[in-house]
Amino acid sequence: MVEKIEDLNIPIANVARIIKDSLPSNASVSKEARQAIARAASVFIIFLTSTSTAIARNGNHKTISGQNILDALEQMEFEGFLDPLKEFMKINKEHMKEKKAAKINTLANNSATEPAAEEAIPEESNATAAE
Amino acid sequence: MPSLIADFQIPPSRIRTIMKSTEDAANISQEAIFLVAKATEMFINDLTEKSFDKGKKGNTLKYEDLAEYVNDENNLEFLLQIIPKKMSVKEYLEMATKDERESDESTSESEDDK
Repeated sequence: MVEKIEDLNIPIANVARIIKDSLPSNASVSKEARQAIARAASVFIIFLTSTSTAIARNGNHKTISGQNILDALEQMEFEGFLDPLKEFMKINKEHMKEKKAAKINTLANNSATEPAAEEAIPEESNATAAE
Repeated sequence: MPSLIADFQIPPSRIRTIMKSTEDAANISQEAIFLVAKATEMFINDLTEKSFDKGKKGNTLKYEDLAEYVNDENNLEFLLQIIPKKMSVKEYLEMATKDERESDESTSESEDDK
């Protein structure tokens, strides 16, 4: 499967938004600088990926885990990112749990028509069995 | 300060595509993709902020500010080729002739330079 070259880059609009949020409101950024930052970010992802792939391999794992990413960042000397990311990991886990629970609830409610009938008449499972 | 909300400024699907494009990429867990997405946001934020702070006076972040910052930070060595400091042709020629002169001086024994 061949990817378009644009697919290997982060959408420039997204990069622009992050840059904007990182600067004072009256500041601006040159087009050249913005493009350079976008390139740097892509290279960062690639560097981070190969570093964590190597770490996963050393641990005989076939899948890159979240911990591999954290270890890679430490190896790349981005220790400052570790604490906020660990916090993010926690929040994200809880978020996923809530989403999952909500989904299960929705499914249970949606398929509730038959079970509800069964619940109303719990003792008569034999009597109401369809033939 | 980067936001800690579980929202992504960079689509995780694109992160995954880029990660998978690296040679012999293994399988990648969902959590790993999310972390890389967040780390990349933080990276952009950090690079932008610090380069801007370091830059000369003015309200515009310029390429030269980035090149300066990348040049000064040890952990940004991997970016030296991506965001190189630029020099004018004149500066390059001066640098090239200076190197030549220095190597001549160190190899010549008794001969003086003309």
